[in-house]
Amino acid sequence: MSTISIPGPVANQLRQGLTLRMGDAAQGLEEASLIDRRKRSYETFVEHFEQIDAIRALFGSLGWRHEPDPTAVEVNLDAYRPTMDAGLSEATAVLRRFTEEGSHDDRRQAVIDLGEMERFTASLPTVIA
Amino acid sequence: MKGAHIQLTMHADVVDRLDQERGPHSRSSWVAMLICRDGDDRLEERVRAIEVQLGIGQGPTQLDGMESVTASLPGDDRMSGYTIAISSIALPFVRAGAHDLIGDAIDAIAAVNDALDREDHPEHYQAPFAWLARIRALLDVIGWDTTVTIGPRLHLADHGTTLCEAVDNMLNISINALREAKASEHGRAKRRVRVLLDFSNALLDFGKDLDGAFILRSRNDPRVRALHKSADELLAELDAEGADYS
Repeated sequence: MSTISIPGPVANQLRQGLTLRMGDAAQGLEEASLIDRRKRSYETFVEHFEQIDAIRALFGSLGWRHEPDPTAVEVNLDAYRPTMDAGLSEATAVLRRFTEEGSHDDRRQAVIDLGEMERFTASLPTVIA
Repeated sequence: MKGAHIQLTMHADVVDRLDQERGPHSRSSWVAMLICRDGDDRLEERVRAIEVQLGIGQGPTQLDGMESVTASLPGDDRMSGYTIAISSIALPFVRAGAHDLIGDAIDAIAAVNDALDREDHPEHYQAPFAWLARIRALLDVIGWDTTVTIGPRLHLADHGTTLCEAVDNMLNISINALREAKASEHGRAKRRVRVLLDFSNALLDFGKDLDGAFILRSRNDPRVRALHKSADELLAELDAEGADYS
């Protein structure tokens, strides 16, 4: 089992990214629940269930609460890598947007956060498919 | 049979016929026959006890044309020992109701996800996630799609509340569908309301213990009574119009 230490500020950003992913999965599931009743099967829902279950599992390891004074969190990389990558990708996209929007201070903070996020992402071992 | 209680619902016209033909104990005997068909040895023993008690031992062939729900309370313990069978007639409607509940649970999750205070109150996720898990567990038992057609038996302690939600949800939808149905669709729409109403009524009675206290708390809800009243009135209204739905 390989574990990784996620710096506190990155963990907070990852929580934000995972929340967005959760919203996407919920929307997918809601759309699935609206299809013709006679055509519904487990396969209609399973992809979205798996997404939500994986996000919840990572939240369980990471902690759900946004920490005002965040500390590093140890996470099992083998178990959560795909979900973590998806959450980091989402959070990075949001931070990129924030570097171009809002007040000068907000943009400066977003640049700092984005830099930390990208350094962390670059430090992750490459996934061999 | 001390402590046991068995419940059956069926079409009102069948009930009337049975009451006339077989006397006030007929309903119990018909339930007994239905349960016999499950092949559960323990239940068969109980059923034989009922038959002896009532002096009845008819074959199951007379079940044709009956909309039925069977239920058994095989022990004296409260909900933990109770199981309920969903008839194959009601099963597709219950399943559809459970599928629709997924959307409701997801709405509840999305509402928490979109709330500004979600980061301060992640515990708000717990209830809707637990609801979704209950719905998934129910569908795991009753089957996610139409390939499962034989009515399964459920443990009330595990699935009772969600089963009630699924049945009542679908009954509500079906009442509205019947109200809006074209004349050509009336037969099917009315049949669906009747099956679900029968099942929901069975759950209402089944949800009480032998002293009449509600063990399925969701049954002690005025909205359920209102739903039943609404269905009863609509069916009576359509019957009064004299339409042939056969």
